Amino acid sequence: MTQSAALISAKEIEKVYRMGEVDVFALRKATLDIREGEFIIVCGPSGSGKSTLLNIIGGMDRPTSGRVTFRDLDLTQASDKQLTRFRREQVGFVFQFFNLIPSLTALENVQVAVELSLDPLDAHEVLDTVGLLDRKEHFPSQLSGGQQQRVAIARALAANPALILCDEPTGAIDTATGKSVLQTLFELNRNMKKTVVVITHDPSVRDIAHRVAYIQDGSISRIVENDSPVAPKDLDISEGEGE
Amino acid sequence: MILFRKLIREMWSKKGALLALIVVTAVGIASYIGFGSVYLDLDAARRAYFDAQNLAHIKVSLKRAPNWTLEQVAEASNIARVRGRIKSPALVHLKNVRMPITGTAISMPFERRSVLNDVVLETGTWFTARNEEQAIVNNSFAEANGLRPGDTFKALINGKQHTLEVIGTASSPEYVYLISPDGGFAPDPSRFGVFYLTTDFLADNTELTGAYNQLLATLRDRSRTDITVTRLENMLDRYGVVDAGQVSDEPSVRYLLDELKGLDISGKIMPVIFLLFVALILNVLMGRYVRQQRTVIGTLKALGTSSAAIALHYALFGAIVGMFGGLAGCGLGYMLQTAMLDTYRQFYQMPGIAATFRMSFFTTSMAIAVVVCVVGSLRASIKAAYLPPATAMKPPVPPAGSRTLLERFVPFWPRLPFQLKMAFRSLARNPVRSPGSASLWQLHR
Repeated sequence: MTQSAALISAKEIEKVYRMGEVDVFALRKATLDIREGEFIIVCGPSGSGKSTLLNIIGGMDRPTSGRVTFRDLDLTQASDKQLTRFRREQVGFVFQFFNLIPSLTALENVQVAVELSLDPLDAHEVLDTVGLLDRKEHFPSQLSGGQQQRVAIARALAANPALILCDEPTGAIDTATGKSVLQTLFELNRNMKKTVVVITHDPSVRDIAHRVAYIQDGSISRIVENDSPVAPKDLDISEGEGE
Repeated sequence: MILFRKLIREMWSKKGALLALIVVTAVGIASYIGFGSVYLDLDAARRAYFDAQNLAHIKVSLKRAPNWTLEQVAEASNIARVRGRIKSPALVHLKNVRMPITGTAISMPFERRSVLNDVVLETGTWFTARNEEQAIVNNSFAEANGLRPGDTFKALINGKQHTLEVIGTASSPEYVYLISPDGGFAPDPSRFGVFYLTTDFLADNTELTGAYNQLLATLRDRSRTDITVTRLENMLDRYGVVDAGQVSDEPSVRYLLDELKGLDISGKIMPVIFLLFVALILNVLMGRYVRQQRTVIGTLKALGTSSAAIALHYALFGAIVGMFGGLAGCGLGYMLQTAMLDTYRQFYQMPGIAATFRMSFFTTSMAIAVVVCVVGSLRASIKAAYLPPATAMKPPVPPAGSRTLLERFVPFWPRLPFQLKMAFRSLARNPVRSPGSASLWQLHR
């Protein structure tokens, strides 16, 4: 992977929650650059602040201090309207619990994102990309966990964003299905040149990414580069490794 | 567009509750349109009738006043038009009715001309003789007792019995609703015999020749009614004033006016009650709905849906309920209007009772229904819009648990089973809603 410019740059960001009398630090001076076109894994135990980091990078939350920029846009100074636009046009989210809208079919869930975007992809094609075109009329309750997550990936992709942020995308599905979901994300990165950030507590998938950032107690402890990522389908994930 | 589909599907899944809300909205709107329209229609008919028949504004009943005093009264300030007439109690004997019937004989000029408190001839003809035993009978009374022109009946007037020939029947704005002046809540047109005789005949038989015993007058300025009545009372004092006041205080007229007032009030109070209820229920329902949709809202925000679009999405829920409720209410209201007027037409002896279609009523109703329902869902919609996306994605913070006042004072609290503790705590936390729903539940049983 050639060294490319930072798509997102987070500098010394802190996030403090005030819980009654005490300040709880979710992030302490976390610094991380996300490069254009890379597949990066942010790995850390639960409570390490990785979801908070993802929310801040994705314009869903604001840091207490520090600076986050996306290309030329300073996310820490942006208005709510600007953040909404940023999420709409530049970010696709994939969540641990899929978060499909239960009253909409697979296709319609994708179309929600299509309608919001200025430069969307075709909803049918996107569903085809994740291999679920034949399930387009199914409601989320009629889909398995892995299928739901693939619909969610299709939805994230449909707005044609620069960045796809995944918060524990395999956290709620079994290992084999998880592998196929990661494979889909891997292909999006490789074939469609999307920048993909995957958050996980499971270090066994580290080999699929260009880089792995380890997060501990709210700050990035080390970053490991990987010159030859392995496709998830070829990965030998032994059960039980991880937490 | 897709979100609209989401809304419709989710509304459909709540169709039971929504149908109930739509029905209550419709009833509220129907009462607004129905009662309001009937009030306007009836009042218009009344006004037209009162004006056409020159119903007097005030009346003064006396023992005996000579006719020349009428000129004096006509000169008095604020008097527009005057009429002196004779009104005498009578007992009516009908062939097929065993008991005598209380009645009233009223004088009318022999020549057909416009007078105050005029009548509308319904059947038969006007008087053909100046001083004969000819009577024009109140139409409702005649119909109730099967009297037709050509029939005769016996009447005791001023101690003397007459056999009167029915020459015609007539209705009068004074007796839209035939109520005997000496009582009864309910009108009974068969038991109160109002009939008209020529002035000459009635005057001669009540020792009132060249005189009158009831003065009727219309006023130029109705705001000065009381002063004018007092002045007339003073003016006519020596002729033995028995009673003076407004014609609107006559039982039959009063009854009509009170009914109209009742309609007007119903048309204002009932919709408020029903629509307030709808707004309150929607407020609770929508609050619950938005709480259930926390993660959906968070997801939509993560996808880049604007706060305004989210608020609109949930407000639309209310707007749709309001639209359906309003539409149903418009239909129901028009049905109520025509049905009520049909009933009034049967009981009121008054021409011109007709349903008017008032477009403005319907457009206003639609606006009211939609606004009320949107206001009812406003709190929840705004809450949804202001939910920060990252917060929305997390499960809601558990509601603040605290000891209630109750448990500090009850010594055996620690020994209560936990189900009871929970029940007491939630009771104490909703001090308004809990007794409310408990009493509703009791009523329901």
